[in-house]
Amino acid sequence: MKNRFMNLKDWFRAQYPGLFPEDTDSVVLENKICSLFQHIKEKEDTILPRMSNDFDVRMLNLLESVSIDRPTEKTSFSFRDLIENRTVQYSFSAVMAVSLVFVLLNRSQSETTFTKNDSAGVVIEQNNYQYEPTSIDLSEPYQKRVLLDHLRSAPGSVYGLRELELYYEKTGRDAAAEELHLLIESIER
Amino acid sequence: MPRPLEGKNMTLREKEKILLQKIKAGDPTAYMTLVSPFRERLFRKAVSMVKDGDDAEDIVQDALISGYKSIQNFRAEAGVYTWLYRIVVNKSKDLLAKKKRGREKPMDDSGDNQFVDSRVGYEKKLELSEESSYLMSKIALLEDSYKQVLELRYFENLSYNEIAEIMECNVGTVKSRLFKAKEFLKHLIQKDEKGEGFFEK
Repeated sequence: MKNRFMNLKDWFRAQYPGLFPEDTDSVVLENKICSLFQHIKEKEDTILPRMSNDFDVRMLNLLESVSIDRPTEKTSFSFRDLIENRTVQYSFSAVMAVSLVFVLLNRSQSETTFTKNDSAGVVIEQNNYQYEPTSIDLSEPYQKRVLLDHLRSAPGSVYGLRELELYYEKTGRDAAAEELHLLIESIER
Repeated sequence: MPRPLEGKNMTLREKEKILLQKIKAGDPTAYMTLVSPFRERLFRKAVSMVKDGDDAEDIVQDALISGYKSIQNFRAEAGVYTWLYRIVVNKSKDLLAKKKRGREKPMDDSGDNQFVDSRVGYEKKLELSEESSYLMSKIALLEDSYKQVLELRYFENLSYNEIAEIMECNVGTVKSRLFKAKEFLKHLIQKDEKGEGFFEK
């Protein structure tokens, strides 16, 4: 953390040196670097070899025979060009930022209305019909007997079931009609 | 209609623009007028890297020809010197690598990025004072990018923008590197016994 703070401070000092008073050591060092390079430059003038006197003439003669290349035009547009394109990068970042804001806003809003516990995407409802008979074909003999006893004890239930069977036959739902027929037969036995 | 080049009120940029127009139309004399002010500096840079006057002259010549050939790609907002400087540095590096491979002339230093350290070899000839030699030895200990930024700033006297162009980074990075280079240098001197009293004079 301290290191990060120091980096930030250094960055500010580097970008805006006017805002920070320079310590004496830095000023002295800068002066000495300037003097050193100035000194080297002056000394180099005396020891370094010189360019030939006819360099310009030679150059000009060479240039006469040189032709200027045509400006390079990019004909193909690669994937690298696309991802290195600043505009594309900024646009992508902007879209991502907007999406993030949108998701965060939506989440924060839904939290106020959605009161159910977090179910990690699984719908939890009390729809467990494991112990309730849904058909006469249930393999559980006890459930079958309970249902049949109940229907036998209720007057008019067979009449109602027959009406329902007819209705299913007329509307083309034969499987349901067949099931009801089996149920009525079982009651009458 | 372009104003005459000799116009007193014309800025350097305006002169450069007119010269560039002429060069792009195929005028080599205009190119020589444009690059002449920089050839000695470029030659000096090449010599400091390849340590041979003839090689350095060849490099400058090649660099100027390359520059002329590719003048159509030169961006008007870029500086002529920084553009040519990069070509010279790259050509010098190429020559050094070629020599190293072919062992035509073994070099003392093996670093690819030779900037300030290339000048260290001249110390004896330069007859630097004890303090300057000491400072030079400490600069030589810095990373290449820090040595480079110090040289470009204090030896070449380039602006932050020009340095950024040469180092292919943004101005903020240049400022940051320069600051860090000086901080590291200060630290190196402060922790060294020999550096005692360095900041007192």
